[in-house]
Amino acid sequence: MSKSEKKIVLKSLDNEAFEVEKAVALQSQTIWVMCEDKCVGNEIPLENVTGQILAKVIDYCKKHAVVDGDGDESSEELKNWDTEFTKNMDQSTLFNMILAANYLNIKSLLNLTCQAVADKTKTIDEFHTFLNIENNFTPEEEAQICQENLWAFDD
Amino acid sequence: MRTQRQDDPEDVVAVRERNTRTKNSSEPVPFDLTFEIFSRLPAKSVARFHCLSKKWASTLRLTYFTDLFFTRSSARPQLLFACHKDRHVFFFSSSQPHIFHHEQQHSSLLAAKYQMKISNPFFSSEGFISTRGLVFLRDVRNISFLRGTKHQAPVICKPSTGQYLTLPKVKTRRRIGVNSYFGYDPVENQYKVLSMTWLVYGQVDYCGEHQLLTFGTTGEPSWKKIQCHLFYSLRSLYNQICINGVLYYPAINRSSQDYIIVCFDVRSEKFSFVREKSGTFGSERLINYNGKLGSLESQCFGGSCTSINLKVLEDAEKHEWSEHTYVLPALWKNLVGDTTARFVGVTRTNEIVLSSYYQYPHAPFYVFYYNTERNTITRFVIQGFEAFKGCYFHTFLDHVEDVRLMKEF
Repeated sequence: MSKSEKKIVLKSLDNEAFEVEKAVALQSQTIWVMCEDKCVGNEIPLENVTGQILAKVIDYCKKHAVVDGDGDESSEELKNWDTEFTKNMDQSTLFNMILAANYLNIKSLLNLTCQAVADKTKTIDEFHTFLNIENNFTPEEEAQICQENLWAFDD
Repeated sequence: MRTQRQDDPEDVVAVRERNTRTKNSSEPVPFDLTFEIFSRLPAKSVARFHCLSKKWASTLRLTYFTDLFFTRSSARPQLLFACHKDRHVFFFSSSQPHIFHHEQQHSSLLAAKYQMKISNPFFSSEGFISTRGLVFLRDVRNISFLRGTKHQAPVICKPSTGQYLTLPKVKTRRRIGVNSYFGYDPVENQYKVLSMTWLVYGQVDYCGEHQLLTFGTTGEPSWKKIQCHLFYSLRSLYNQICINGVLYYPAINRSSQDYIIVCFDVRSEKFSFVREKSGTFGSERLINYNGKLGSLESQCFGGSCTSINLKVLEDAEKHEWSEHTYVLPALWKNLVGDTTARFVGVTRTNEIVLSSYYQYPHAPFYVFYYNTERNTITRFVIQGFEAFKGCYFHTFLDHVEDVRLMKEF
């Protein structure tokens, strides 16, 4: 295999190009399918992901391509790395990471980012805002359902 | 208390249809991904988020959601703490720590989150048993040191849903001692409470009548008498474990005077027993050792403790046990300090877990993970019990959150 075949170029929504090892990129099932189809050249356009998010996804894939399957010590290290990876991301970055992981079909990254949002989101207001969920209860209905779950509001 | 709503399987289909529709709407995160996030929330947040919208109030009750939540939650079991204070029982949970063996750190922090409280003036602070997300607060009566305590009804509590149910009292004659144990049959998915009675003031202290209450089926639970051919007396009131549908508790065979473990098959409702070569009154702790019955024992639980003895039942028919003695590293004395700890259990990766059982006014509440292979101890300081100084605690391992509502009766 020539050098160029080992590399692949991922192009983001905002036209940022990332050259990465094929082994790194193929953790994405979506990219894997695109490569299998041979309907693309060495450059793969990713229309749903911005450069800022794609850079983070590639960081994740690079780390996991190197360490995966290396045994006990490294899986511990990987877990620590994952925790650090999502620790300082704000909610909007996390949601975009979830959307990217879903679009690119990287299951472990989807698990990680969904869990991170679940761990970080505490209040109903946060969910209303980030998930764009409309509160369509009448005041009476809302009072009743909150009464039924009153214990859960007792901190 | 709420009643369980019947989930309509068609609702799941409706949800899936909505899902495809919402993908192109203004929702920034599609429904199926929101669903994924919700399945990873703490149980208490799930209850709180019923108030988000009508759609979520019904979605979070769907069997499809609650089953997925249970699967996710089983993959990350928690520590559960129950604390007895001023005639209330308070429940807390924390994540179960991952121990990284190459780490040099011996002490870390772990935050406990408050779950719920229940109020009842008659709980005995010793009588808690936790199985698969449920906590059983048992009925212990007329035992010498509890003599004079008021007759109480057993209570089942589910910290993941904030529910608790009072079970019917076991009917007995007066002047009788009662103890009860809690078992789960994974085949029929049923919980059963086994009660045994004995005469309190007589010379005979062997267990006579056995009664059983099945819980989890439709209809009102009621006690029924069952036959037990064994002639035994209890060795401990609180020491029990249920593993793969078999309930174990320590006793003395009154025919042979042997130390035995009574084995009650929760499904078939039959009794058998295994002999122990030696045994103690009360200081041992039955545990689940990777699916086998085990027993942990130590001469004491403070800084002067030097070793832990582990027995594992290898062959129940031949009454064969394997025995291991683990000499604790010198570090133990420093880590436990002036406090004392009790056995909690053994993790899936074979670490022995001990924990404080009393919140000292001037010392933190600790949980210890002892790795027997590497002979290393990691201590966790539990944060969140500051308002519970001078209170007694129970610590449970492998608590799995489950947002399926308990059926009322």
